[in-house]
Amino acid sequence: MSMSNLDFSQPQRQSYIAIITILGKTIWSVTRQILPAVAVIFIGGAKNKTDQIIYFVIGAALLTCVYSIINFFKTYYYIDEDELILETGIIGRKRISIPFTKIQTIDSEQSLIHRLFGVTKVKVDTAGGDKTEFELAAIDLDIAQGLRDLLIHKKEESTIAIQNDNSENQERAQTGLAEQKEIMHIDTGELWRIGITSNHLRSSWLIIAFGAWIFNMLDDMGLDFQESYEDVDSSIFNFNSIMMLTMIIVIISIMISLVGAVVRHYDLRFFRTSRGFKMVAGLLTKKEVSAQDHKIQYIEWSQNLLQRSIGISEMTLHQASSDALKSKQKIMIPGMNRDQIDLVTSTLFDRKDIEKLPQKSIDYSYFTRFSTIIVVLSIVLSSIAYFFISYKSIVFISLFGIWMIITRFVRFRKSGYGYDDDHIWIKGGFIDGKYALLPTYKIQAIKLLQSPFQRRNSLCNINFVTAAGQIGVAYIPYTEGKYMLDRYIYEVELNSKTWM
Amino acid sequence: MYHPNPQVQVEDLPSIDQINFTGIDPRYKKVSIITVSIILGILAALYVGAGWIVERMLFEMPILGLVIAGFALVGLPWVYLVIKDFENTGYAIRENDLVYKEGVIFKSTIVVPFNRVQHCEVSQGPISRMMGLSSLTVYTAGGSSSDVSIDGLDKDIAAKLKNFVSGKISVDEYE
Repeated sequence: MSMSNLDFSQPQRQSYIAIITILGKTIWSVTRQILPAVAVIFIGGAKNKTDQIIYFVIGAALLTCVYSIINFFKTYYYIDEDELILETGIIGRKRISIPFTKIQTIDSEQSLIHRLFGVTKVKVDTAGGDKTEFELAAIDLDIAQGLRDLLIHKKEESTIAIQNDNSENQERAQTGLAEQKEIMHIDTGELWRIGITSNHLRSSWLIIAFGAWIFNMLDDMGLDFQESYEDVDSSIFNFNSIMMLTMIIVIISIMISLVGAVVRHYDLRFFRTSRGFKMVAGLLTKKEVSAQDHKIQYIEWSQNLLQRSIGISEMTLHQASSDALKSKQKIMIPGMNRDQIDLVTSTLFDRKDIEKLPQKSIDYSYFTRFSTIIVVLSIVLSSIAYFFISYKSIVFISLFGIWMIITRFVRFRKSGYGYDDDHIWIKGGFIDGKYALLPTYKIQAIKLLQSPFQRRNSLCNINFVTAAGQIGVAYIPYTEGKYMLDRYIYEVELNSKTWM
Repeated sequence: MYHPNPQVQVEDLPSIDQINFTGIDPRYKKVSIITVSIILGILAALYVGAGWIVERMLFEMPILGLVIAGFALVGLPWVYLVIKDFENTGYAIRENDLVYKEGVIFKSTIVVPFNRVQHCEVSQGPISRMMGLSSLTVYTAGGSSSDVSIDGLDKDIAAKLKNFVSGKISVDEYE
């Protein structure tokens, strides 16, 4: 590693390629904002006063661009003793400094332009409460690698200085930084299988949402759909055309899933690093994300019917984040087989075969109570509909009710939970089976909830709050909930293991 | 490294069943009722204003009657819930954690161990300040779902509790 000939103590600018990417980003965001307005002007064909508006918009966009270019020349980063520092800003200078000990993850991302010029975007994330974040739009690849190694090295040094008595840490630091073991590599065949088995319902929603958006756009532009509807003979809305439409949506959904899988997971590599996990993937934009062991609060994996038939799952590592449930702190790894999941769980939690852990089922009233409410509600709504709207809507209400009851039943059948000294596991899901595994010392707080019905029947819901969001089980016996609360609160209070 | 680790039966652990919760200060009931009255009052004022300036119809009988009925339908249960909520809210400080319960229809109990608390603060709303009350908020890394805010504490008690919790946090950090 050419760490020696890189000097980070002197303030330096990002690569000049950064100008391109920053400009690109600026232009893109400006375009997105004004696109509807421009479209209205051009398509609407209203010529009065539009010239001034266009000049104004172009002027504003140019100013923004000039600003970002000057800002580029005014942005420096460097390392000062044990802090990473970024100075930026034209009029109001801003100085962000991050002590090495606070650095949590160093992620990189390469878009097509980055890769063309051999540069990369680097993002430094910090822990917990403070919102300091560090992003370099583009720096040379070898500089990035050097910086990354240096930061990890320095971080470990300072961590060791603090936890001098912890021999395990020292050992790990000595084994070197570059050491990483590949857990998984997704090749083209694998990618194909991941695409085919992914959740197509999500893609369908995307299509429908996109359709609605286009429709809305055109509507905004002043195209009148009402008229064109009336011209169309209503007979085309027959069974065949609906089937056709459904078919088209299904085919496009599958294609979108496939393309999405290729774009997101192309050439995916999943590594075990000295203290965490790392994933590199992407076709157009190559992303590198990492999660350190101590930052992972709980893991989750899911498997839909298609995925089960070929034995793969999606695994998500949930990391602690400052604003709970920020999606960027989740790392999702697709196409994991059982052995690979075992590998992750055994390195992370010293456990294997977690799907075979004993499961307790939740109370049956999770289903019956809900169904009763739905039936009563449907009857009430139906009678209102019968008197005030039309009898046809009763069919829709009943179908919707039946659908709700069926989904609830499936959810009931799939729900389960269990626990032992070290972990709590929770099972759930509807179309897919979901599993979550939570080490008990990661718990931040425990919540018991009871509705009046649950109070009458000695049931409760329990929620385990972690630094990566909360997970819970519904409709378990109150004695169970109380038992888990007492036991794990006691454990958390006694355990000196830090959650991060 | 040896550390004594005798077995503990879970049945012997301190249980949330055996907790004597401390209720919140009776003055807080007034604060809640005043708050609700102010909100309803503002709504009523807006309505009257609208009737005056925009549409005289709003003061005529069928509409006015419906609106008054609506106000009563929302306001009375609201006041009832606020009073009930006051009665059901309680907190307890144990050696190692804070327990807080609340809720009228849907009841919840949350336990936050002190060694997971990031920081805590005391705050006062304008009405609470007039009554000499404070709120104590305890923040954890779990975000808003596990932050506990105890409203309606006497301001001296709130300050004392804050000192106690802060002390607990710093002790944990030096261990």
